[in-house]
Amino acid sequence: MEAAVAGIGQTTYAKNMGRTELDLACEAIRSACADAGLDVAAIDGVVSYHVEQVQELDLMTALGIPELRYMARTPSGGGGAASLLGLAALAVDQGAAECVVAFRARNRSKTASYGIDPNQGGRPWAKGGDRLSDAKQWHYPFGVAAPAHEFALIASRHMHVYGTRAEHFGMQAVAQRFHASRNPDAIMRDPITIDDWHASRPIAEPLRLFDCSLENDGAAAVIVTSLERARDLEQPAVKVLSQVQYGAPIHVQLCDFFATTAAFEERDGGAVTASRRLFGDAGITPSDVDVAMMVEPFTVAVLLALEQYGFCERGGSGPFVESGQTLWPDGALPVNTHGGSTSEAFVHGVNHLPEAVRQIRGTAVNQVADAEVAFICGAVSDPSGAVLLGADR
Amino acid sequence: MSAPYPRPAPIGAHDARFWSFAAQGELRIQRCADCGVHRHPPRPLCAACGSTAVEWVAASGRGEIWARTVIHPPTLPAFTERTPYCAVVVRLDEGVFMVSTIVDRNPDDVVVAAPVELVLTEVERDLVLPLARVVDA
Repeated sequence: MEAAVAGIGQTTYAKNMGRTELDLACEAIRSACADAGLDVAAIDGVVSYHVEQVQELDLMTALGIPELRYMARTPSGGGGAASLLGLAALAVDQGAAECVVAFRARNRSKTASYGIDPNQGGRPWAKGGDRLSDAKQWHYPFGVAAPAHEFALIASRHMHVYGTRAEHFGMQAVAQRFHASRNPDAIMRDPITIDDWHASRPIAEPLRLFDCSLENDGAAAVIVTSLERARDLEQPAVKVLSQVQYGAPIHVQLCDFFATTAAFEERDGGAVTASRRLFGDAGITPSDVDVAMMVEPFTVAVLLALEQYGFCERGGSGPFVESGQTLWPDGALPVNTHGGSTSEAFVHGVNHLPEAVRQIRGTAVNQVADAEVAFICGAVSDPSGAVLLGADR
Repeated sequence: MSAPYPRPAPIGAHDARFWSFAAQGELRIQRCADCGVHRHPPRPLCAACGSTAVEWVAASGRGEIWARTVIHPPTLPAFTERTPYCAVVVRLDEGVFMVSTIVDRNPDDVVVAAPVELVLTEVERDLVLPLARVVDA
């Protein structure tokens, strides 16, 4: 694939910033352009989530982009974080556009200044309303409404099948908090211990507060262009080695999720199959990966991704985390070295993209020594995807 | 007094049939009239053979707990007063999955793989839900 990441940008991450999502998106995109040494007018493609509320036209107007040749959106929230990068890289590789920005902007937490709306702020049940016309009708009347409830059910199945313990999820939360404690951009920087995790309040057992992603505002963006062009720009080019996307049932439709994937126990499909394509196309194996960003609305998603993408055996993710393999600097595969969604910020996983790029550039706060290959995946409980990034040397 | 339940208000005829049967005290699910595969939630056609011929057959209501969680506040207003409560995913003997709530046990005593039955229960006026009860061996 002839595509590379040339620029990365992000805003401050904080609660209740009082800024519009357009404002946040423009800052992150301009920052990514400045990082790359590109004029904003060079952007000719935009990729975002289907739930993104900042419209392409508004970006053109606000940023002064003269012409867009390519626009694409990916389904299902945090499942699509890596897919944004994949869609941008495919467009560049196929010549549909020369300089594509992938971004996410959020001002959507429970106290969001945007207020309550199906696509905006507020608690899930406030957004859902009291008349359930869609898939919510199979969850809400039984008290299952928040993503935490759904991921807790998924986690309980993993525990039953494999003997995974609840504190295995906590151990990943502790590792990510350690990473964040050294990251000045992270929102949650006070280190925690596994005892702190045990003492944190239960949200939906087996998940506790420290297993949950944060609620905050912010935006992040990356610029993808051809490898040839990226080599002429400001930063070392970071090559997109391969990308995959896959459809799979999502956590908001649990009856289908358990009926048709059961991906962590009975069948292939979803990430398990996609992983073979991802590594096959890049001509490498999971053991060649130096550092990983795994989008995690809840810590259990990291454990599922470790197994489904083949970084450990099925059912082996609990012991993998417990033995420190995901902890920087000594783990075999440091995961979410910026602190992830539980400790750096929740930007629907798009804050994981700049961190993967920093690792390949060698500029991360928690830098993995001589990192040459970085892996990024969206939340595996959704239609999702993954990308491999590599050093240009 | 608890807040009212959020209520199913399906747009599609398939979903509506499930709830209208439930309102009559019947737990029925779709079965392909050509190949016999059960499906739930309702769909317009069979994913196994493509047939749109469908029967609404009585479900056994019997199954096992496939997944379980104990939910603490904050949660749906209708459920706030009963926290912590146990929500489950049930795999019915017919092979389909349903989300439900366990009402007859201490949440801590509910374990994955326990046998359960779904019992249609009028939780509010004109709202009948399949609630799960643990079946003692």
